[in-house]
Amino acid sequence: MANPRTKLIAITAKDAGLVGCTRCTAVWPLEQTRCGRCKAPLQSRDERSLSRVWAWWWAGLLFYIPANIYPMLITRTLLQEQESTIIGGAIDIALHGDIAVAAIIIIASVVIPLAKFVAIAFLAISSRRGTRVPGQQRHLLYEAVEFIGRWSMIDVFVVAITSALVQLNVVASVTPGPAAIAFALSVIFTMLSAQSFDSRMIWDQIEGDERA
Amino acid sequence: MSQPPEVEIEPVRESLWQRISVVWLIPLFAVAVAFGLAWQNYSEQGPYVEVYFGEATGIEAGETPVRYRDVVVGIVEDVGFTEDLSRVRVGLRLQPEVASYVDDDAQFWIVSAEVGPRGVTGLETVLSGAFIEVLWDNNAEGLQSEFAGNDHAPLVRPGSEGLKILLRATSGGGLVEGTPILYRGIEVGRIGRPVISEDGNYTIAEAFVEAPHNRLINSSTRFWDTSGFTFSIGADGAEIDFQSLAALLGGGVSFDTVISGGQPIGDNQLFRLFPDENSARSSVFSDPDNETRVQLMTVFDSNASGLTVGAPVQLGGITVGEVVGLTGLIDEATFGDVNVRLLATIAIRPTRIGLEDDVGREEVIDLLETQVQEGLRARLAAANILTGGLKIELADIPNAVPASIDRAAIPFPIFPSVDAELSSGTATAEGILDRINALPVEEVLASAINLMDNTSRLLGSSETQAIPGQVNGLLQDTRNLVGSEEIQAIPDQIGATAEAISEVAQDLQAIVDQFEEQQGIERLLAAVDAAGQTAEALTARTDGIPDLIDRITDLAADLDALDLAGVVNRTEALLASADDLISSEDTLALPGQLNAALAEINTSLSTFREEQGIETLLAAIENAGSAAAALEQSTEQLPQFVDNITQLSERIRDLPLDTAVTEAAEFLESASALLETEGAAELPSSLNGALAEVEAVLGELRAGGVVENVNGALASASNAASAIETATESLPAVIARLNTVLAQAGDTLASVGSDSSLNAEARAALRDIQRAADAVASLARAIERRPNSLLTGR
Repeated sequence: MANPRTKLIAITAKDAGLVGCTRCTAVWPLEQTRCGRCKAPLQSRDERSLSRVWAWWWAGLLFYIPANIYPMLITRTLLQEQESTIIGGAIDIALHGDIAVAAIIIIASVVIPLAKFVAIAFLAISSRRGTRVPGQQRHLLYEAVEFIGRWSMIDVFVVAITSALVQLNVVASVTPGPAAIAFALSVIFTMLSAQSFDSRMIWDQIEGDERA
Repeated sequence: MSQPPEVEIEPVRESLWQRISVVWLIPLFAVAVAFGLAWQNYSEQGPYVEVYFGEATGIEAGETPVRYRDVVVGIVEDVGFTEDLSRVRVGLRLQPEVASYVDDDAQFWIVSAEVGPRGVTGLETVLSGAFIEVLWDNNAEGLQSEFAGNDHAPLVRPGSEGLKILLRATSGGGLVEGTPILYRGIEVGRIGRPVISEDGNYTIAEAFVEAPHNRLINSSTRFWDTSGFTFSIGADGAEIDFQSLAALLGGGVSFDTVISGGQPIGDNQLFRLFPDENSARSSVFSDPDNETRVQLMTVFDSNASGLTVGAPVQLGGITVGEVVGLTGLIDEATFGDVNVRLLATIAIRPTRIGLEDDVGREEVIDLLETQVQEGLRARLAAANILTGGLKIELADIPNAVPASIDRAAIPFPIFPSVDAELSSGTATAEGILDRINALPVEEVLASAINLMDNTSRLLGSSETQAIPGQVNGLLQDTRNLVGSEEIQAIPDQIGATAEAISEVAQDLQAIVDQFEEQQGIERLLAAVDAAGQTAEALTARTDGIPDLIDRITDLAADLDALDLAGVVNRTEALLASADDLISSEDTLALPGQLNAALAEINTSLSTFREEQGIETLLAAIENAGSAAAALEQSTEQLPQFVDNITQLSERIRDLPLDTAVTEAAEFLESASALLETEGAAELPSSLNGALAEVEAVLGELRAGGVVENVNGALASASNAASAIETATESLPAVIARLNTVLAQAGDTLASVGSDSSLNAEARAALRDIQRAADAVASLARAIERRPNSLLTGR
């Protein structure tokens, strides 16, 4: 139909009745279930990939809720005890005038995790239902999610370091709240979700479209 | 190439369990945990109640705790308003275990830091912030969801036992919320918030007395205010009273059961709060509901200043009533004049004079009537000397004018009175005070101030302050003088002198002894006898002497008129110079020399004694006796002689002696000048030298047999005396001649006038004497320059 470039890539390994080993890159017939060279299990397509993606995705999303409801940091000073949630803390900082710091917190702790959820969900749905978005862009999106996933833990690191440093006993102390653990779990689950996604399915969909 | 096996297009449909990944267990688990936690939270959540406050001081949603007996039992969840914004609605989340106790009697109030007279309360809320305190009783009667919060802590804490009473005061001074109720200084309860009574006449406050102290209160209990302190001067003197320091600052209410027989009371009994203890205690008597009083009147003629309403009425020193009214009275019908009298209304308490409380008024008056007939009268008496307060005394007056109680008087019976008998102590004290008043204290003080001023001025003057220094110097000089070698040497010299004198005396004694041995006395007596006869003869011829004395007296008067004052002054100057001379060192050395001279004299005398000079002397005396006898004979012609002398004196008196006196004065002046010169001062040393020479001469004399020569001379004298004896025999003739000569002299003197040549010659002679005096002065100057010339002759 439209795109001449996609037409050029017409045959996949699966089309050719072959399956490549993802570990040692040897090519085997589709029937082969185990690599003859490195003994790794062979799978032309991971049929359960999407299921795992969704499972991790839901888990991550569930933990993301308490991560925002419960306090991230509990700050005790001499006279008062303050509990800050992620967004509440960011707003406090913004009201104090540190717009840049507030923006970093909002981006790292709210915008990016939410964007990851959306991106993973989009990739998973599109690999099943189809989309107009070209495969290249979807693959770029997948790589971006993969890359950025590890940096999402920066919030947890900040909380951990702050808690370790600010321990002045009675005068002032900072302890991580329950949201810190929830947030860390949420990030971990999101990363696992992204890892579970079999990126080859992006291209299968294109093939299917073209065939249709 | 073998045909590949047919690829199975349709994969075997896997079962649901095969398709679902085990990973799904994780979100499922998370959801389960979440639901579990949510359920746990919900199931553990306590009841939510709403409390309405007037204001929510320091209340913050989500932070302010709710405490029961200082244990947190809940937290404020939200703070809002009622629909009409009239009150604050505070939503509380309580712990489930207390839920069933939060029933109707639960009371909520806000505790915050408060500084009051009782100290600081709620100090812990300064740091933690205010909290809501809740109290309920121990009966679980089901949860209520809405409460009206109190603005203050409740007076009666639910569940506490005690007695709740009402206190009524005319002024709210003692009724302050939180004021403690004290019994013998121990806090047994508190006063709640006072309110104004409906009629506005009183303030009424709830009060709560905790068990077991509530049994101390019955219907006879009286409450009084111990706030601050009370100071009063009354008939009993000055009085200051306060309960405790805490009560002084924060106030307090005390109570006591004044009399016995009170009835037990229940809650909400109303008590009156008296302003002080005295009025509380005396209220037992003054309260008309409590005791019957019999009112009487009594009339006093005398001055009753100092008698006040409330003054005691005493019978034998016991207060049996009080004055309840004072007024003036003019009753011409009764007293026969229009003088103003004092009408005092008194209230007598029958119980105080030993009657039962329920006796009738008539019985009391009957009893008093009996007493009056025996002499009981009312009179004014001093209650307090200092304040001059008066009281009314019911006293038995012996021999009182018969009187009775006037029962017909309106409004009360009149009790008979006698004149006031103010104690003499008052009069004496007044007299003393008057005399003290009259003392001239101001004058005495003024004089004392003057005296002190003068003393201060004297002591402060520089001269006075210099005295000690001068005294010091004087003492120093005296010490130096006494310590000088010359003074130290004087005693020794005097001792030596005395020794020499002693030796001379011994010698004299020896001479006298010798004289006695040779009957010198008899001879001397003979001579004296002869002299006595001569004297008698003289006495017989002294008729002309008084005249002579008169003339001499005139002469003395004339001499008196002369300018002797100047002479005296000069003489004084001369004496001063002489004084200086004597005080010189050389003069001090004289005693030593004198000593030596005396020693020489002593030696000479002893030599004289050895040579039998005495006998020669006796012979001479014998001859003198003969001469005296001869004189006796010759005295017969003396009157004539005296006459002549008298004439001579007259002449002499006429002579111009004034000039001579002047010249003599000049001479004395010169002599004074001479003595004042340095040379004169050195004279003593020269005299010393001269004495030394004398000593040497005496030594030589002794060696050269001068004594023998003296003896010879005395023998010659003896011969001369005998010759005089012979001559005196011819004395009458001589006297006759003398008479002639004197007569001639008298003639001559008579011719001597003021212009006579003799007068001129006399003046010339005086001038010569003056010149001679000048020469002596120059000689003195020469001697002053060269004192040695006096001795050396050069």
